[in-house]
Amino acid sequence: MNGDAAFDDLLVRVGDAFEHDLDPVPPSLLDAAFTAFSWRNADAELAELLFDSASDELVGVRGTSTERRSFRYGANGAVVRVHLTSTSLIVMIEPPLSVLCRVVTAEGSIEERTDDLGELVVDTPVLPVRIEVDLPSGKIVTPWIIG
Amino acid sequence: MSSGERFSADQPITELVAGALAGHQTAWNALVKRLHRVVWKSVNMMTYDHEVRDDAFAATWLRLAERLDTIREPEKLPGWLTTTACNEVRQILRQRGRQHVSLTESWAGSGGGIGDLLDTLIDDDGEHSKGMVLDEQRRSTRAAFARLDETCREIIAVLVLADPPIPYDEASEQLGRPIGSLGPSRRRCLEKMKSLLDPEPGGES
Repeated sequence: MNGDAAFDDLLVRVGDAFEHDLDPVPPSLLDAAFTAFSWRNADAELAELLFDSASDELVGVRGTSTERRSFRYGANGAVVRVHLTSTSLIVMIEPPLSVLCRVVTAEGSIEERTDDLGELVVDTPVLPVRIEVDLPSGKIVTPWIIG
Repeated sequence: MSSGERFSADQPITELVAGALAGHQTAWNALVKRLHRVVWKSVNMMTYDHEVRDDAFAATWLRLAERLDTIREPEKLPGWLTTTACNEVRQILRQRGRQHVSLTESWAGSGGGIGDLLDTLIDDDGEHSKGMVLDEQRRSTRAAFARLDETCREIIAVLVLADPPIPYDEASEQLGRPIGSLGPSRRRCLEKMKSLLDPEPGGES
């Protein structure tokens, strides 16, 4: 991205304006950044986000996203659907399989098996949350659902 | 794995990423110390809502941790972090149905700029007034930036913060925007920013 010289001063000016009066990073946030590393799960394959209802609403109708949010992820030939409502979190594995699932949050994780239809329902956890699934083909993990 | 391995923030980013990938928390910590300013600046450029800003900052490091092994060119991490941080702010704002900029910010609506301030200065001593003028200039720059739309704020944040600069194709992918639109958008945004800063070019003096 080579800029026109005419705009270079402008970019420097914007950079300086935000640099100069920037609050320091609160220590608790730096700690959160350090801790993020301990959540790394190098053994599991990161599932790919295929659909997020919040992003979809960009081009669609506004307004319902706070009531329910849906995600679809793909990994290892399987699809993981996650529905998040104000009261529950629903995980659906496709093709339907009874497999071990972990709902992981900063406060700990809940480990449960999906039923024969590949479904699991738990109380809505605190965010951020991610789902780890032990598929027969290997472990997969969804990206963090932030909020 | 030698737990005694030492890493410091002034090492090359490539070494720090390799150290973190090998499982060294100290390498990760050094990476955070090295690059946290660029993330902090990005989130501060995108929102004045402190809760959103803080959540997006934390989320950006979660994203880096989960995607560390997909970073092909670690030296470009500042650009990756900038676009990721912008994306996180956008997602959080959208999900929570919040305004992007608090219009109640005291300076956000002020359009007077330096000229107005100079008019109000009475026989000030040089250094003090110079400092005040610079402060006001920074405030008016931030105010102008705040009036840009979300797309422009993102594009300009990336232009300002990505060091080394990110090529169009990567920026396009990371910002989730068509590559063909980036060049024209960039020009439109910079021109808009310029016109916000100098509403009447040549009109002063």
